[in-house]
Amino acid sequence: MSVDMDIVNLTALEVGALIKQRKLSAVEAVDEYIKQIRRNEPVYNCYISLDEEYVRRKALQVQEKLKGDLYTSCLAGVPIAVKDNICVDGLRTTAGSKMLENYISPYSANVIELLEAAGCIIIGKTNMDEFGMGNTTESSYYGVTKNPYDVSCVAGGSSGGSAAAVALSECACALGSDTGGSVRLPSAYCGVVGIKPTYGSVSRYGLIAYASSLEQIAPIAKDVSDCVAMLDTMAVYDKRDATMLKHKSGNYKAALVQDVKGLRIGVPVEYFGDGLDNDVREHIMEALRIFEAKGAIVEEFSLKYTKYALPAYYTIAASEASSNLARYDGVKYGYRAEHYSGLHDMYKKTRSEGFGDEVKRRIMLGSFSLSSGYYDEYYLKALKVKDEIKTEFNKCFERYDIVISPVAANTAPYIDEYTGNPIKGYETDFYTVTANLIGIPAISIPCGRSTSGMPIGMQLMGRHFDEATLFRTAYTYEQAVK
Amino acid sequence: MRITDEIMETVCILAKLELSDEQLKKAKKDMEQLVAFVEVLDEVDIGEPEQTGMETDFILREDEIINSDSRNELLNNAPLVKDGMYIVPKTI
Repeated sequence: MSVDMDIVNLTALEVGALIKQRKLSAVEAVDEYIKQIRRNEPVYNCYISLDEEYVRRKALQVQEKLKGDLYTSCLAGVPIAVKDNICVDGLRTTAGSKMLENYISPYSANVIELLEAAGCIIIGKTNMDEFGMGNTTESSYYGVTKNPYDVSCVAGGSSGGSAAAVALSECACALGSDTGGSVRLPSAYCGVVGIKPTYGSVSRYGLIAYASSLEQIAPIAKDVSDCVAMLDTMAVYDKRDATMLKHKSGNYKAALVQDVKGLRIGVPVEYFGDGLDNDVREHIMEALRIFEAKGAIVEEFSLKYTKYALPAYYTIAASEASSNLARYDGVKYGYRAEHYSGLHDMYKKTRSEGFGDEVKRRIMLGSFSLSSGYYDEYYLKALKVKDEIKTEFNKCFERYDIVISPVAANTAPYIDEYTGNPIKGYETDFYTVTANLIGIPAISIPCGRSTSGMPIGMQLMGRHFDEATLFRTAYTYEQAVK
Repeated sequence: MRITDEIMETVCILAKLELSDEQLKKAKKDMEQLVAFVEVLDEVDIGEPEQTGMETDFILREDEIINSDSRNELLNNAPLVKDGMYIVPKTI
């Protein structure tokens, strides 16, 4: 079989179709992506680990099974990139940190088991902000990932490597994780599609924990259909994750129809105030005009608790992080300091040397919020505000099917733009953290480019377990602007 | 609120972190900014928030061993190992 087509620029489903039709083999597919990676990586730095021998070995195994028609999935043979906080058996899993620089995972995450059973091939582990803490990938111990559209800008984070790898066709599609926008934001900055599923719909077994009540593993892909195919494969009940809900799994494929007639779209005024870039505003307004022309009902309304989502998020996330990262003590795995005197000194030196500044900042904030004398005033208060936000959204979803917003106030910032000013960096998450706080699904889809050519993303949020309406709405828009 | 040296000392003990004087000075400044950032939550008048948990069955599983013996694989990641045990500084 000769490879005379530009494979890497196809969508994941298109690659899967060629493989199913035997016009392309799994080995040929990975070879093309490896060539693409070698072309781009010296500039963009999307990957932390890439083991070509491992990938080719896996591709040969998949190819044998393809010959025997043993796969039914439309993603069989498709190379996917995996964010480096998702465990893959036998592969280095670093979480973007020095702390886990040499950690070889002894098991695979549930989503990896599902995707490999469907015939996907893990092509490599992608760059990320350290332990998921950040929104630019600048806090990675392994260097920043550059934006595919402008190398002086960031790819976003914390799943920057995954989003950039999809945009650069260094993989057919990718996995990220989203704790406060970490899939949606880099997807917007890189001009690709990313969806954070409903909390409890995708197993977190095998996801290196940052903030357990907020995060979900999430797909990133070139279009809505690819995201649907990935989520249909990943959103399967797993008893090893006690926070999973036994919902009706998947079949989101049925949502890929162009129909928004009668759909009620809410536009919160708080998300479109001063501080929003005019290019971003105009592109989302244009998207709303398209929805209206197709029969949707668009209405402005107010969400009065909007401004409290970000401080509530950072208090809760930092608190959970301080607990989740307490396990890194240099005893059973990970980095251990070279020089120490006694056990507690070993703990302190290991953690102080093994973690980067952002991680230490959040652990300290979390430790403070949970400590005696401050717990009620900070952590408990944040939980109660979260409940108020959830109540407000429950009321909003009695009237609206979808809530629309920007993903970020601007397009991708310059590298080092937030250095020395962490709060300014945190404010980027203004639009995205609410979905994590209250557990609803949210998708980021490209809605055009700024005057300087940088991608703009818009966010659609929906009711719990109503990914179908998100996909239908996103697909309708995507097809309208094709 | 003001972040004092005592608060920073307690936080470092809880977080099991050791900072140099210069790092501590910067961390204290960062902490003040972060705490000020989250203190806007004081504006919210919390009455009795509605119960927002979902009605769902408490999902339990059988208490059965499903893991295989992966002792050697797990020990492979340890910084220091001897006779199948993790080695740490003497504590007694």
